[in-house]
Amino acid sequence: MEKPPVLMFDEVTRLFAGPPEVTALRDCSVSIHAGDLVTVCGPSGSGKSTWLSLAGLMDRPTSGKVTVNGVDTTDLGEDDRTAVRGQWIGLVFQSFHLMPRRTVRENIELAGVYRGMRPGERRRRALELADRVGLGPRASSLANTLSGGEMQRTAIARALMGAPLVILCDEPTGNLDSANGHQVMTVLADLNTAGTTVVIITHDPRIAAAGRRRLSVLDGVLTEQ
Amino acid sequence: MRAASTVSGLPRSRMTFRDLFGEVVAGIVQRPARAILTALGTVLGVAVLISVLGLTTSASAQIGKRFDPAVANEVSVTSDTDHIRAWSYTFRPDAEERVAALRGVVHAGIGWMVEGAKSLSNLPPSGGPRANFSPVMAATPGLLREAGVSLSAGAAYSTWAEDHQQRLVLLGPQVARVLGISRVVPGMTVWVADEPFLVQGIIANTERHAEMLTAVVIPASTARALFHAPPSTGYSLWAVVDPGASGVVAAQLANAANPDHASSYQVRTPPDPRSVRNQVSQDLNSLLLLLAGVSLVVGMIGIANTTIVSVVERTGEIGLRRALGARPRHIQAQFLAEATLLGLLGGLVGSSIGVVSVVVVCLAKQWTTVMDDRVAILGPLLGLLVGGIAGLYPAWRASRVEPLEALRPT
Repeated sequence: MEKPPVLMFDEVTRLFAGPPEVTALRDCSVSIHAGDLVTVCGPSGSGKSTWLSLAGLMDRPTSGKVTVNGVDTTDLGEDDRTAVRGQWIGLVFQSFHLMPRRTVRENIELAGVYRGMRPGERRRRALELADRVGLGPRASSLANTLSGGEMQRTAIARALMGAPLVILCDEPTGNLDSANGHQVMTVLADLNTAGTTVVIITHDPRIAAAGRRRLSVLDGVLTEQ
Repeated sequence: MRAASTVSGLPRSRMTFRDLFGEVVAGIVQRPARAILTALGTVLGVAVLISVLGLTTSASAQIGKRFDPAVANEVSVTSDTDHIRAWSYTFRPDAEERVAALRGVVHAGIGWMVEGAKSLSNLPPSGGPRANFSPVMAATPGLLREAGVSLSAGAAYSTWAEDHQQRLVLLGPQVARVLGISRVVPGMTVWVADEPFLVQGIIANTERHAEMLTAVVIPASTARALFHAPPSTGYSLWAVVDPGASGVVAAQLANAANPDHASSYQVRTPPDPRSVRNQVSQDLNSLLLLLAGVSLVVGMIGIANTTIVSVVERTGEIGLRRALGARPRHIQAQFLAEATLLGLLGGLVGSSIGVVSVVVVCLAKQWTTVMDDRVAILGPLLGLLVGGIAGLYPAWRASRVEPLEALRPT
């Protein structure tokens, strides 16, 4: 039996009542499959962040349905949506959202706290992931001593903590210079090569070009290039 | 066992108590300045409360010390003004001895203020016009003992002097000063209402009957002989009794003074000093506890306010936790536990400061420190309660933060 798409949008529309009323996403249908490296590109205000928040189950569509790993999330309660997000989706944010006074390892471990992982198991996994994103030697460094690129790689490792089906990255290089941005993109490409499904939201066409599948959003309409 | 979500095979997000505690401690330790500011309100409130409780109990004990010896043990019986107007109709001649013989009575004596101030001079009537006037008090030797009279010079007159109507006088300190007398020499005479009296002594102080300090005191029998019947008011028999005996003695006092007229005497017992002390203490307690309560409420508002600010500042962090799989109840528990733990810590520190303050004040005042042991537990418990209550609303607000907040740039 064929495995279902990791993420599927089926005629998803998201209206913001306003005033003024804004249609941030209109009749969006798309499927993300295991192993994809997808970039979603669009200018500011085009609707790409709305797409990401719906994909990450942080928002609900006005109409249509979002399916994660074959589970229709339309009628799920908040706790179930949290469970789906926590277990199957990894999130990477433009602002990193690291705890500045915690070490790299402790920041990565945080994602395991709500999964009920034992402390020893969390620690082992966090060190393993720090190594994987090239931060093994800095695992004991405080987050506020890291460079921007290192911070984002820590955030990527944190997103991988629960072995999610897909990683959704919101402008992962948005706060980085080109050298650090390149480093981060290399890590994401390597992860994808190793089998992780990666979705990158960006407004930068050069980043978007790195995707094996390239989607673009303009005025709330998603198209595949 | 993990609670399963309604999504087949998917475990619900969960957080162990150990992890919750770890996150709470990290949240406090990693923001020490904020933690101190948050707990400060509780520290002050609890410190004030503990100080108030400690100082109140210590002060009450002190008040008790001051009250007890002065008033606790005197009862008196006074002739009823409507019915008895002359000595011969009032107390039995041996009333003082009968009262002194009652169980519980330490000293007993009879006395009254002789009507009208009398002229007073250290010169004979031929020496010139009288410029000084003084109240004259008639007192039996028993009353001198009952009053706790102490002398700066001379000696108190004896029972023999009382029995023989001797013209002896004790000068109150103010009277002695007016007359320019500071010591007693044999044969020293003063004239009271132009009657010569030998100065027997100078009063330094009294434990009771402060009116003696501004009067001249003469034997009761002498006063009766010279100035006729005692006045219709103020003619009294007093008794000092053992602690706790005032009620028993008072019940027998009128009969002992004169059983034939017992029903027409007014027996007075002092207000129970314990009730006076308790009343004073209660008034003090109420006022100061109100102050401490206000401090605690201020502390509670402080914690609530700082925690709400903290929730606003940590919106990104909360959004991240929610994005990582935290359920609203996990966030609520974390913030509530943080506020409660800060309240507990504030209570502990406040209690310590309060106890130290009480000890220091008592040392400075040379009081005995009196504190209930339970106060040491009360402070931290109150802090815990204050922190918990103060944390309810901010924790609820934190639990309402959507994971979407993590998407917003910081």
